[in-house]
Amino acid sequence: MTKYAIPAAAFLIVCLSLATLYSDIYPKNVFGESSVFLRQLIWIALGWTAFFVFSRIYYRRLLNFIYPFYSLAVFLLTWVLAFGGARLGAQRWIKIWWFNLQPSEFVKLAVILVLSHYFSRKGLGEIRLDIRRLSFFRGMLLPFLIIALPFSLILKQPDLGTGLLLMLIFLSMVYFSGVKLRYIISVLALGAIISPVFWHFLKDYQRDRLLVFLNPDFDPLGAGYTIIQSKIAVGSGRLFGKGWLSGTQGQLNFLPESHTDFIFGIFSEETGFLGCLFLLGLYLFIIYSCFRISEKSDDNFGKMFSLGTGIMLAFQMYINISMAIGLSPVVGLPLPLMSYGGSSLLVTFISLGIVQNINRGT
Amino acid sequence: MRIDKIRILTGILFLILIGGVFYLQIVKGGFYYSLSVKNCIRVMPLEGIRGRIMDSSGRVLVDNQMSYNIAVIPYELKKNPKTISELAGLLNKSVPRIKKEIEKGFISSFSPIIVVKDADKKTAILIEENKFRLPGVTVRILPKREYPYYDLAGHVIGYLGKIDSWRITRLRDYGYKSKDVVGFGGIEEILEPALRSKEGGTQVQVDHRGRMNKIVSFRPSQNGKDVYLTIDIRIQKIVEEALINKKGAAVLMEPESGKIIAMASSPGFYPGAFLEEDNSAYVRDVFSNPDSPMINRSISGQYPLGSVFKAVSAAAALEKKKIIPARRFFCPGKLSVGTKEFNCWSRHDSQDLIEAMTHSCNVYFYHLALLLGPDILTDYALKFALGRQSGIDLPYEASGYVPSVSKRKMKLRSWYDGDTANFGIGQGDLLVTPLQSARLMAVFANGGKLVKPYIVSRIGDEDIKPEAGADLGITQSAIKAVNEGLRGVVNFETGTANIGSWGNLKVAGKTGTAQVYNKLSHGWFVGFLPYDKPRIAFCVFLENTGMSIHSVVLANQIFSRLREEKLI
Repeated sequence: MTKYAIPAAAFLIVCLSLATLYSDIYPKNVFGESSVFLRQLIWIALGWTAFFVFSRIYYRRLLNFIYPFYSLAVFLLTWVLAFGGARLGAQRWIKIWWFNLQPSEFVKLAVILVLSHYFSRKGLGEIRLDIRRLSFFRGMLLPFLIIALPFSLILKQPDLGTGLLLMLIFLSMVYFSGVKLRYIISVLALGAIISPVFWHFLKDYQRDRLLVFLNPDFDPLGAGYTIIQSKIAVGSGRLFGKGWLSGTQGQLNFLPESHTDFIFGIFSEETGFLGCLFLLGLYLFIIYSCFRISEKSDDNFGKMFSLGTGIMLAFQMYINISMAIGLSPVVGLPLPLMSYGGSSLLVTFISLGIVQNINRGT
Repeated sequence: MRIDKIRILTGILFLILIGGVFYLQIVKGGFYYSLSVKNCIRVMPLEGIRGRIMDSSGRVLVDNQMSYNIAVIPYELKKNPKTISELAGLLNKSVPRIKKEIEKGFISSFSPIIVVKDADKKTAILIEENKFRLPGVTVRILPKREYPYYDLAGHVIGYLGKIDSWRITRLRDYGYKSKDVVGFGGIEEILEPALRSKEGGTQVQVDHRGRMNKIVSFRPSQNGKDVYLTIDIRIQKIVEEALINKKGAAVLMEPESGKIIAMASSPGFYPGAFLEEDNSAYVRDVFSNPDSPMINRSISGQYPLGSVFKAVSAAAALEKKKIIPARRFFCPGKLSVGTKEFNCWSRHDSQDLIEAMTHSCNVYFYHLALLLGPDILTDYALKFALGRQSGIDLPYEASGYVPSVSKRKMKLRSWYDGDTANFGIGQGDLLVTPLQSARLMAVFANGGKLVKPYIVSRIGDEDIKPEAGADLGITQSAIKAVNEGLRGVVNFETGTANIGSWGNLKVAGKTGTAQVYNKLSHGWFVGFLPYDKPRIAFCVFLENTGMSIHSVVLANQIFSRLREEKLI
């Protein structure tokens, strides 16, 4: 049973995603957006292929490729930024043939891989791994330097959501690895002190979004509009939902970005509270499976990686849904396995594929 | 175990989400459901006013006027299908035509679509009076660009047009939408972020019959910032009038600061034409006209410089101590370099540097060029900021081209002594914009400083400070000698720019006739005035005019009129 837990739940979520996407574009077909559905189908096929490939490669053989992969991801990130620099606005994509590659998605995977590797390495004279003995420098500062480069590049894009996510993944993994608690707390305190400085580096529209979160009336026609419309979409689903293809918020074009960041609005409008419970249940199932695999694995890299993947999915899902229901600012993160977007889908499937392989080893 | 704590934290996150969804869907579900069924949040946009553009003394070059626009709300029309025929009757338009407008302008059910742009007041009042018969029709008062000086300084100002797909991908994150209006070219484009107004509006909740229930939220619109230019529109007018029916450009700038006093390019265009449908024939014409009226020749046109470059060659030769001003060369009317003969435009016999500049003797400068060699010529051309953008605050500035031996070798071609000789008199591959040539003259006028030209003096409440000029480190004696030559060009009886009618205008300058393959030569006249205490550095350039004397006559016309009007 455990063997099929992750692919089964992922399969169900992907089916829900396709149904929701279809419903979202169904009335808009006239505008030629049907290709969104088709592209997503192709991406899902690619994603499953990646999942099965990675679940069959012994994961420790990947260790040699971690740093090249990390360098490649950072390089792509820099590249995207260099090209974005010439233009105005945020530039997050690299266009390859017919699709857009989003390097920040791959950076998430790269960071989890590198941190897992870092915290599973034994020193030369060590008989067994004891992270608790690590100094502040080796336990906190050095791993932070690993993510500092991609983190700052992502903030520069600027992509607040992914930046925040990287930070949360980092803190959780450091915590899980066993680094002394007071190191983590001191870093958090430092962060709280310097965050007002950080405010100055935000772009106008990002400040607007934070202000809008604190008070949606601040910008009722821009970012605030999205929050209000998204809340209407979710709320109007009530217990049973309006039924498939019967949502009005998305179909009447009230809800912007309804097939990417705000797909939860469409889904919950049509399936209601029961549908939301089912979807959240599937996510919880996948995430707890990752945690269980982490617990059961007797290899430190496997432990760290499974946990990192679970944490990534948990936070990403939490940030996305809480922004759809107005509990957090609009930061623009996809809902894993649900939102339209190839890079996110591919990265999620690869990560789950590796976790699946770790599960085999246990 | 720490993993248990992570599990608990994850569980809490899930509980928060379930709680939030429960609150929205179950507790407040009825409320949100009714909101969605009635589609009852409606946005009524409120336009801000785009910033104005002023000249150096605050004369308004680009203003905003109120225009009345008749708009319909598609959602209301669907409910009241009779409205369209009523409206068509009042406007004297056919029903299909209005339907077509609506189709074209559709954004969403509640965004008003303008069916009649810039209607006259009478029509607007007529619509308002018949409002009860026309549910879904509103009169929207929108600001509209006005150009009190019609097409004057059109290239500097730029124009407004509907956003294109290239711009929208760059600007989407800044809140731009398809169908927005943005600046194209000139100040309108480069200062778009400052000039642009921020849209405000009201979000209202309406009942099932479309009547307003309550205001959900309101945001005032914000006006754009006014922009002040350094140009004086009275001077600009005289310069542009002189260029009417000619192809060319003229730039007047302050040599000490780089402040642009006038910048003209001919033929020009009327910036107000691009947003009006009725003008599509005019717009098509300005874009397809072979004389390219949309190009600002002053900064975007790149032309061979001709003899004007002799000023640079002279400065280089003096500075490198290859000659002293008294050094004489003999001009028999031609000079053999390598296997070829290079001509002078006349026979000048023996002359010193000042005389050679005055007469624009080619042979003298062939000698100088061969003494200097190509590398020093390239160095000095670059030193005088040729071959790169000046950094003026206008878009689409060309950088020109300075030839060099290494660039030639990269193209796998050789550099001959003949190329060096040609380089010395500004022929060959050298390309320069009129602005660069005026900037070059400013260096001689201000005693050796390279200034950065600028054309915006104030944005909103913020004064723009000019950058201090960079000293090029040329000795004063070299500048003085070149300036004497430049003065001679206008002042000496045999000078190439002496047309006998300069009167008390103490102009120093250099003519240039740049040969163009298969077409008439370009004519340059660049310089500064007054000679003792220069206040203006200028460039007058005519494309394919045949002889530089035409540019001299034009410059004379411009400065005489400026003197008449007591503007200089």
